[in-house]
Amino acid sequence: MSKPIIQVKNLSKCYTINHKDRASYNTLKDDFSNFIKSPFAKRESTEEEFWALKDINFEVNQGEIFGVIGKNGSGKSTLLKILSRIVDPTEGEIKLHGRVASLLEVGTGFHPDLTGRENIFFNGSMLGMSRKEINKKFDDIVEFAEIEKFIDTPVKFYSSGMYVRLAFAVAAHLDPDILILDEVLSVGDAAFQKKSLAKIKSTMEAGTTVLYVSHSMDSVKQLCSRGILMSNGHIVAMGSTDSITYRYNKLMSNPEPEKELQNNWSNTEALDNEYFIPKSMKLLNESSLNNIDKWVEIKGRVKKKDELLHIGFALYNSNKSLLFITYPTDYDDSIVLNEGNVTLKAKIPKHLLNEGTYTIELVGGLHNKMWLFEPQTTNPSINFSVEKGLSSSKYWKHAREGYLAPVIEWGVD
Amino acid sequence: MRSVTDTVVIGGQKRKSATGLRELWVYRELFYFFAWRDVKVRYKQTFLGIGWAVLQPLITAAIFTVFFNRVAKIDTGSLNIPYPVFAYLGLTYWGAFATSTSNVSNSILNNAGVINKVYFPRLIPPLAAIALSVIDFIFAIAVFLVLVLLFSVNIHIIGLLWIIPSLSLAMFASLGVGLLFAALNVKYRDMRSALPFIVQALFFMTPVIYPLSMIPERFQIYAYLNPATGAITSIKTALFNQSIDWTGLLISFVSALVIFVIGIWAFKRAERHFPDYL
Repeated sequence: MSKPIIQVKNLSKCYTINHKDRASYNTLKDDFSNFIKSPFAKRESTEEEFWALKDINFEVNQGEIFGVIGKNGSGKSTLLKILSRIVDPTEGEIKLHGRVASLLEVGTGFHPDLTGRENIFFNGSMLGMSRKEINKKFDDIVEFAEIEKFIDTPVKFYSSGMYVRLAFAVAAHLDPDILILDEVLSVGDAAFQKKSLAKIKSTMEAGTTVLYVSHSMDSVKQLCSRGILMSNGHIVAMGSTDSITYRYNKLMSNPEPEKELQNNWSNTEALDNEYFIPKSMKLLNESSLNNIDKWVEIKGRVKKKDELLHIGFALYNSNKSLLFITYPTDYDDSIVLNEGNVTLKAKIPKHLLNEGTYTIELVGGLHNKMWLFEPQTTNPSINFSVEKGLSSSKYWKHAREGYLAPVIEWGVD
Repeated sequence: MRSVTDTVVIGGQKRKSATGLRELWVYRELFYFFAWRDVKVRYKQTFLGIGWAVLQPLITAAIFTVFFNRVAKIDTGSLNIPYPVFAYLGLTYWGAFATSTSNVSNSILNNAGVINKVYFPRLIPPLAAIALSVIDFIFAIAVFLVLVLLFSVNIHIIGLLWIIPSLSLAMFASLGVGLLFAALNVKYRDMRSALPFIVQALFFMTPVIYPLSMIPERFQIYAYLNPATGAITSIKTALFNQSIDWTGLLISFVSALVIFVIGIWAFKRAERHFPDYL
């Protein structure tokens, strides 16, 4: 059970990008005339290396359903193409112990002029089935695809639903030791998707190891036990499905929070004033759940002490509607910021916000005198999202309308 | 489920060419399915289907009979057989050679979708492309035998056996040329337009519709450098009771071998980069 069946070691893939010539293929004339013009010139000068994958290491055990998630351009597809032997790696090595079938697309090689029957044979063979095997499974495939009547009709006359069902049916009847799947479960209508998922699950029970790549966190959660999260060609998280999907959602809702903050901060001239220089602002908890308190931390340097100096933040929802502005002096009006580095912490209580994305904007000034950071200008801001955990009530689990979703104390006499 | 070995290693040490051949063997069924699909599609998409395989050389033979034989007074040399039979045989071979070369050279681009999605030895589509030409040839050569009867030409029955080796020579050469162009095609798309011209030029330099004897004797040796010359001349002499020019044939064979080695070398070198260009 726990023997590694897929071993990926120090895998890297480098592409050279040619800046000068954006066409994916050259004309002979171009290469030839370049050569004639300057036969000894180094033409690499216009090329730039791009590492689509860098130092990828992981192992998948037999019988495991292993998820690979990440944003577009994170390197997932390159990884899949290398695992499927379509593209060679630049460095590193992969060992696959067992028979591999990879499904990067349903209906690979389907030809519109061929009938359903003929396409089953060609596509099945393409995916690695022998003729004997296809013959044996033929009836099951047709039945699964629900196209009995049209089996001898060219597939160009099929509806898109029938086409996809047939294509998936062939793929679902492969039984390799290792199955590499790319997003293919997102085909067909809901009923067919459910059926496909069930089919995949049942083949898993037969001991097949699956490497599953998807954008659909729901299907990853349903199918996979473990996986990796990729970003910019690196593995940024590896572990249980819950932990990686959580990190993924964070990555999607708040694209690299620290970096975004840095970018806003780089405009220091605009932030410069004689009282307070902000250095960073971040959300301390990573969870997007609503049933925990969220802490906002603001760091900065006080240049000149003033009793009236106040630094706080404004909170906006995704429509840019201002929900509230808050300052430390609201809570305790004796708080005075002394010269030097200060760290401010504020708690956004649990069970206050509704599900959605929010923006925290740094605001501040001298009370009743002047703004240093006027709301809705170009102040530094960060984003975060809230989902699930709205209340502990069994009747309130999903988002309700409203800017806020506070759980308010109630009593009945 | 086919499997090459139980453990597949990607990257790391380079694969030996022996595994390449073994892999082709493992994937032989896929080769069959590729050829089968090409044939099915071809005959479904065209109204006349297999008829084209016969009509093409038949019509061209008729045209050449009028213009070359009747107008330009080109005859069949020492063979002394009716010109239409002579031209049809040559055109059948040339057709097989030319379509095979062009199909092989386009096979990678035509299958780009599959090549980008599934792994299989990249030599399979080119090899399957040859099969299509061979099937066309079989129908065309059957009609040749009908022509032989119609024109009541005496042929050497044992010479019929020579059809197989001579066609093999032509196909072998077309595979070499085709593979070279298939590799170039992926990177330089203009090769797609260049090849038909090259094939057209070769046609007139090959004794297809005229006898080899029309070429001055001291140049004949160079004509044999074109493997199609060896294939076509040898089948004509074998069928029509003359002795085969073994020296010429050997030159053609060695030439085909050299072309094949160059073609396979270029193809193998380029195949790792196919997905980057497709």
